[in-house]
Amino acid sequence: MSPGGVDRVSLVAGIAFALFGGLLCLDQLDLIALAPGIVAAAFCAAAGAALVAAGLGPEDDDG
Amino acid sequence: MNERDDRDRSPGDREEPAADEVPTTPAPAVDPSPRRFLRSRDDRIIAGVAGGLGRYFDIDPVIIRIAFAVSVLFGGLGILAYLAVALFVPSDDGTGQPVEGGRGRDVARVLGVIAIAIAVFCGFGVLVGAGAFVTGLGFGVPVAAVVVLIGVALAVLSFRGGARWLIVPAVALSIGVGVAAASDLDLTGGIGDREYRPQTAAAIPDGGYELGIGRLAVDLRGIDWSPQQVLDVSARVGAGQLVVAVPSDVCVAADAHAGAGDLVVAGQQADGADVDLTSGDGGIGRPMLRLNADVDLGQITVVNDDNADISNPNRQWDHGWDGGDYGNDAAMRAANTKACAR
Repeated sequence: MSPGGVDRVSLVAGIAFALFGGLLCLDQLDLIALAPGIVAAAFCAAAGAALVAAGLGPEDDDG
Repeated sequence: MNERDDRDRSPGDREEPAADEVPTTPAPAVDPSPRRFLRSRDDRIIAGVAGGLGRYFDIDPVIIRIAFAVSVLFGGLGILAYLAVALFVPSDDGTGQPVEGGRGRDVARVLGVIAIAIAVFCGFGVLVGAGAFVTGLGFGVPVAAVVVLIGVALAVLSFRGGARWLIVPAVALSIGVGVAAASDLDLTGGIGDREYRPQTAAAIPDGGYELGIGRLAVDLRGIDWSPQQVLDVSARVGAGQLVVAVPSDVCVAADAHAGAGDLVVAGQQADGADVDLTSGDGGIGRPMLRLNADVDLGQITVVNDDNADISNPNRQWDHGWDGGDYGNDAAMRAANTKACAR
């Protein structure tokens, strides 16, 4: 938890998956056509962002 | 001072008696019994097995925990070993002495954690499948919108203490919708095992054959193929297997596509994601099947064999083309090449 009371992991994961869901929405609306590689890369980016946020550690919050 | 503390101290830290000091107490007798393996009371996440092993072998318990986690991927033997240790090895009391009793509580705790893990795993799988299934039925926008909403909820709740558990459904639904979107999964057309054996060309539906989930077999060997007859057939399966059979003297000109899966068309084989396979060039003027086949997730098999039994559903996903029901791919490739070149 950050000093301001913000849960960094939830915040980063929320933004990442909201963006990923938006990308999927555009694909399902046929506004864009996502190739399998793009979907996989986007998912890894979202999940990776959450993992990085979780791995930054509480000591960073103190500083 | 316990044994561990004593072992951890460097020689310089130990209190050595002065040279002129005469020891007044006898040196402690060395305990001839081996060190006893006990589960750790203080360094535990579930039952203290990894903590106890780490202390016994003097290695970081995290390494042992990782080893247990990895062992789950290789048959789950590590879980059985963990349960056995939790059941038969007593815990320590914090001073290196065993505490008898309490094993039942620890085993119940381990079983509880495993049950919760299985429930979470199953729930995760159900969400992945449901996301893909609903998306395949044509309702991908609402499911993707749910992913967006979960993401927004996560971000908003992060200012109120966070709700990290929402990450699990977000990931599961993202995987489901993502796989369906990447493979253009279309599950409309029903579910089940269907087999068609048209006896005339007119019996083939204009719109072709379609199945959402399952196994679709189209046997065209009952048709009386004239020497220069050309049949256009399309077939599509959302998730599952498509098998098309023609006589061995019919040239197969196929345009096959799989969103993710395996294509075996008249002896030619291709697999992977977003894979295409065309076959049967040069068959003009011969009896020919012009096949447009598509499977989103699964397998397409086109057989030119007069005797192959395509009704055996157990052949699905079997890559061992060893002269069994469908013949072998080399023989089918040779047959199709010959049929297209005559």
